[in-house]
Order: sequence, then structure tokens, then C-alpha cells
Amino acid sequence: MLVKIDIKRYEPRTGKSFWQSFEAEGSGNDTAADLLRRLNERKPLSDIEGREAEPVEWECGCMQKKCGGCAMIINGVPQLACSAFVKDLCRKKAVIKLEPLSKFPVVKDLRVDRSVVYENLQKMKVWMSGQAQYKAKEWEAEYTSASCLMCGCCLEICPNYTADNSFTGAAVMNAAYRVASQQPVGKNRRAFIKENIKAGQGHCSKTLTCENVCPMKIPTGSLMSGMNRLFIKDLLTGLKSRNV
Amino acid sequence: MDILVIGNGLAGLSAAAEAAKKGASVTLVSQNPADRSQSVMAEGGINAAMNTKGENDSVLNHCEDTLRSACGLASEKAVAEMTSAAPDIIRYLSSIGVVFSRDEQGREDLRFFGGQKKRRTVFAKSGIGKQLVCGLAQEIRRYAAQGKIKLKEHHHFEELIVRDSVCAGAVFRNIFSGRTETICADAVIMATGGMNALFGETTGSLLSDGSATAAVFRQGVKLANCEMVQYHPTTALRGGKRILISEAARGEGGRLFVLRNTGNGGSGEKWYFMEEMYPEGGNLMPRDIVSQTMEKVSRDYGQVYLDLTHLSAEVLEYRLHEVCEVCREYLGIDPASEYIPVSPGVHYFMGGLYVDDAHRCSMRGLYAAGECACQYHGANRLGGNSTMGAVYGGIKAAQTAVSDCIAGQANRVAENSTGYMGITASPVIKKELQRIVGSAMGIRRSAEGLLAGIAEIEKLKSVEGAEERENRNLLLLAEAMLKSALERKESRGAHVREDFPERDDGHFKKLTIAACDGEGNIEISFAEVN
Repeated sequence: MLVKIDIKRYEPRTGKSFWQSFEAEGSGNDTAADLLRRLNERKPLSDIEGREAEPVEWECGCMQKKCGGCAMIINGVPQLACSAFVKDLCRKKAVIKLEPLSKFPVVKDLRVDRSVVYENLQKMKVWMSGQAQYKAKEWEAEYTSASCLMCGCCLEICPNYTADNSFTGAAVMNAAYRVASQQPVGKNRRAFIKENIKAGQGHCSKTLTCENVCPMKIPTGSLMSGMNRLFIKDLLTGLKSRNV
Repeated sequence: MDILVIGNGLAGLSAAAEAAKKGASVTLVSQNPADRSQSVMAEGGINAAMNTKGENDSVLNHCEDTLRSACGLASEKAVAEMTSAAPDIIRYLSSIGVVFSRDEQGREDLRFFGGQKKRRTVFAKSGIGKQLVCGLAQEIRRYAAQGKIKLKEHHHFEELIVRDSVCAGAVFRNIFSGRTETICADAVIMATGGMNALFGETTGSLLSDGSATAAVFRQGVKLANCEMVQYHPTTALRGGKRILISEAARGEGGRLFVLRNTGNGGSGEKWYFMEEMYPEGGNLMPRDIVSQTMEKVSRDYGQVYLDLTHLSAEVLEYRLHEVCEVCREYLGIDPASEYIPVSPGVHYFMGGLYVDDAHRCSMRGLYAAGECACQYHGANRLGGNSTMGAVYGGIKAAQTAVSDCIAGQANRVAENSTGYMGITASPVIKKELQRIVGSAMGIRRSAEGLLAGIAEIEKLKSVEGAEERENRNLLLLAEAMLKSALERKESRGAHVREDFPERDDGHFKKLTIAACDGEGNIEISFAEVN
């Protein structure tokens, strides 16, 4: 089918955003990423009105939902372009609308700067400060947590996350759960969990829309409760050892 | 000492961590955060002779299997060192929080993999790459917080700074601003991945395009064995790229078959050809043999299928979780009830930048590790050895770079530059180049096909857009690859010549070295394996 692709573009040299439309032949099994790749292979590339256009700037790597690069807003929903299929996007109308994620600074067109996610991981000290411990019960949740693509879809949809408040958002909370779970019990772990609950769960209104859009279906709600559970457990262990 | 690491896949991350551990001041430059690197795409596992299955596995077995599969082109010393370090590397990775699948005793679980008779592949369901990168990137952040590693993301490597034939840093293009930036260092470690842009349709990341290898080749850094391109047996074409169906699928019991006796309207019988033709290894023969056999069999019987339907739901949903997801989402196939049509596809580059046993490139001050380097895999790589080769190679390269710096082997030159660089190279040239290389460098090659390819590349050089920097370098790299394949007049591992079907140890149990002079002329020679 002939698909109309509306792209919200941004030109950093002028600082201006504008919409531009293209047309491409696409089958139901094509993804938005396939169409973007094909557009950029055209030389010259012209828009729907026949005007010459610059190649569309966007980020892509694996093209199969493993690297998280191509996250963008597609028909109003934050998702990965490489797993947004034409058959689902064009059920009603053969139109695909692409916009950059809005909660990050736009670099150019559909490419955004997601550095803030990594700055937050850094700020919240999301790394092991002792030897990682293995607990069979937590394994599945830890594995799922580590499968986070850091794509930013969860932050885009979140009603509480903005670039300028101190809420770290689901991506950091998920990773913090894993580190807390693997960390040896002790003061370090207690301090780590406390800080991360403060900057994470503390701001979260538990709408869990993040779970709906996560490409890896990470159960943020359950990981958060997991971390809260660890906190209480550590607190009780601490009290007990003080009583003794 | 200042060490510059370029690339943040497994090799780059482990090189940066090791150099920091050794006290170097490290700058880790990459196009993207580590989560976007090609390493996250690795599925099956990482090899180490953990010997926890009561199968008498040993480091020596791992070493021998790797060398046998490499068909005489891997350095015995380097492989012996890598395989003996492997079990400790797994323990280290566990300690920093990498989530591996575990057995009932809580030890890292092991699975069968191609070319090895004992369970030696440590895994994480079928998503090892993501788990490894997550753990190592986390460790890098810890070093960054201590000020030992400086991270510079969204920077694209453009070229090396070379002074008096010594590498003294590199020039990058800031992908966000377009500005060029120069970083000087006492030693530079390349960890920039494979050469996917030469083929286009590969299982790798579009970002691991080989542009860095191409750029340094033009600057005089030598390549080795770049004709050794691995075709993975089980891939599927989709959207101008190949989707990998991990070897883990066969490691867990998956079987390859074709339909025969389909005449007279019959539906045919399944012929599990690998099991019949290679009873000793069956579906888990090394990848070169499986791919070549599939190619041969499919000429007579058409489509090859991968059968996972007999595997238990537990194996499919747990141990092959990612494989099943990919099949359902991208191929519209449920492996529990349907056969997966597969064909061999370009997956890995065994060759690349020439390095010695200690990961030194041919240029002083320059080191390389991971897929961009020619180390460990020779003429054919075993599944599960790329991840280990990358992690270990990064460590080894960093150790060598640090000790060379201490010994005063590397030099520092101050340099500054400013300016802007164009971003996109003409897609038309790249597309055409991919067609040429794909056709000349298939599973089977011939002098005729290679010569035709070389002539076509020559012609392409004069087409508009070919003069653009990135295209110019890629054309040169392609030419080196085809010329290497042309000069290796024998068949060995992944390199199959229709006109020279036999292995010729007398002449070719050697590394194919490609060198480029200042004028862009390529010279191919052969060197003893270290």
C-alpha cells in the first residue's frame, strides 16, 4: 500500500521545527524503521509535493528491538520504529506520523539527546559497590531489569517525569532494583536503596503507563515493590541486629 | 598515561575498565551509549571451560576446539591465553552483576554449542549480549564516577592522528554538533566492530559499518584475513537486513532439514541432512561446515528449515526466549508449531585490523580488540567465542597498551583542530558497493567473480559521490577484501574457492596481509601465523 509519512522535522541551524510529508510503498510487515531507511536511500529525496528534501536524521542500529536507538513518537505513541509495523499503524488510515520524543532535547529531526538517562544512573550511583550476590528467587526479575533498552519510551509517557524535576523515572528505577537486589546486605545497600526510593518511587504516581509502552515489557511496578521489600527487610534486619 | 578507547561494545568496555584498573587515565569515545552497541545483539552465549557438567571439559579442550575450527590461522599462543583466562573472566563478570542463567546449584549454567562436544557456553536465556553489556557498562560508570574514565558519547571516529608513523590520538566528528574534535593520547585502542557496510544485508548493527577500519587502512594500518567472512547458517532475510536465529536453537536440540521426494504431488519427507552427513557433530558442526552444506543441499532440495517443534515449552520459552520472540514478531512464525525457513547470512568478520598476540596493530601506539581485529578466530569462529574474544581481547589490549606506555613505546603529540564535517555519504554508492561485494564474496568464490568485482569497484570509483570521504574509504576496504580473497588460492574455513577447492597448507597456512600505501594502492602478502 502507499503510505503517507508525516515527519516532524527540526533544523538545528535555524532552530525551527516543521512538518514534512513523504510517500512510500509499504507492506503490512514493514516497520516504520524500514520505511525510514528506504526514504533515506533515495537520492534525491523529495517530499510529497516534489520538493527536494534533506535525508531524515534518526537513530537506528539493530533494526530488531535490541538496541533501543529508534524510539520515537509514532502515531501519538512512544515506541521503537523497528517494531512498529505498518499493518498495525495503518489499520484505519495509511498515514504514519513520526515525531521525536518530546522529553529530551531534539538534536535534529527524529534524533534526540537521551544523555539525561545516563546522568541519572550516574547520579544515583547505579553500580555494584560489592560483589554481586545470586538469589534464585530474584533472578527472573534481575534478568528482565537488565534487558532495559534505555530507549526512553517509559519517560516519554510518564505523567510525572520531566527533564527538569528530580524524578529519575522508570529506566533508572528498574536498574536500581537490580543493583539493590544483587548488592550484599549492609550499610551500603541500605543507603543505596534509600536514595533511589527517594528519587524514584517517591515521585511516581503509579499510573504504570510505562509498563504499557515498554518494548521489553519490564514490570516496573513489581520491580519497585521488590526494592521497597528489600528496604523493609534491611530495616528489620538492622533493628534486629541492634536489639541483639 | 592517557589511553583512548574507541568503541563501547564488549571489547571497548572491557579495555576501558582494564586500563582504568591499571591506573591509566582513560577516554572512552563512542557513537552512542553502550546499550546501542552491536554487542547487545549477541544471543547464544560466551565460552569458558567451567567444567561444571561432569564432562571433563578443560581449558585445553577449549583451546584445541578453537584452533581446529580456525583451520590453522589462529595464533596458538593467543588462543591458549584467551581460553585459560576465560573461566576467571566469567567469575569476574558474575561478580560485577552480569545476570547469567544458573543451574540448580546456582552456578553459571552451560549449553552445547557448535564445534565443541562438551557443554562450554555460559548463557543468559538467549540474550547474552545485552546482559554482558549491561554489567560492563555499569562497571564503567563506577570508574567514571571515580574520575578514571571520561565518557564521550555521540562521537564518530574519522581518522587517526599520526606523527612520525606513531599513532598519537584520533579525530572525531561530534554527531550532535557536526564539529570535529581531536583527542590526543599515549595509546589508542580500536574496538570499532565489523565491516557490515560492505555487505548491507548482515545480522549486525547498521552502526558497526567498518568505516573506522576503512579509515585507518587508508592511513597505512595493515589488515589481516579480511576475506574470512562468517556466514551464519541460520538467518532470515527481512527488511534489507538479516535476522539471526541463534545457534542456541541448535544447541538446545534444534534440527536442520530439507524436504525430499516431493515429486508426484507428495509432501515429501524430512531429510535431516546434517545428522546424516556429519554423524559426529550433526547440527552442531562448526558454522563454516553447516553453512556450506546448507548451500549445497539447498541447490537440490530448495528451502532449508530449522525444526524446533519437538522442544519442550520450557526450553522454548525460557532458554530460547529471545529466539522465539524474534521469530514471532519479525517472521510471523511460532517455533513451537512451525518450521523456520533459514539460510546462511553474513554474521561475523574473523579478519580485520592486523594485531599480534598482544593486540598491537602494525602502527606503533595503536591497538585493536573485538570484531575489528583479526585475533582468535582464524578462518572460522566458534559460536560463543566472539563474546569471550571481545572481553578478553579488550583486557589484553589494555594491558599491552599500558605496559608499552610505561616502557616508553608510545609517544604523545599535541594537536588541536577545529572545523566541521559533512555527515552523510551518498547512499547510492554504498548500495552499489554492497551489491558488488555481496555477489563476489558469497559462500563460494571464484577468480572470475572476484576479478569482476574488483573491476566493478574500480568503475564505481569514478561515479559521483564516490569521492566522499566515507565512500572513498569503504571502496578501498572492499577492494582489499576482494583482493585478499583472490590471492588466497585455496579453500579454508569460511573461504571457499570453486577454482581451488582444496586446502593448501604449504602455501596458505598463513595470514593474508593487506597494506595500503600513501597513494591508495593495495598490496597483498602472506605472513606466518604468530
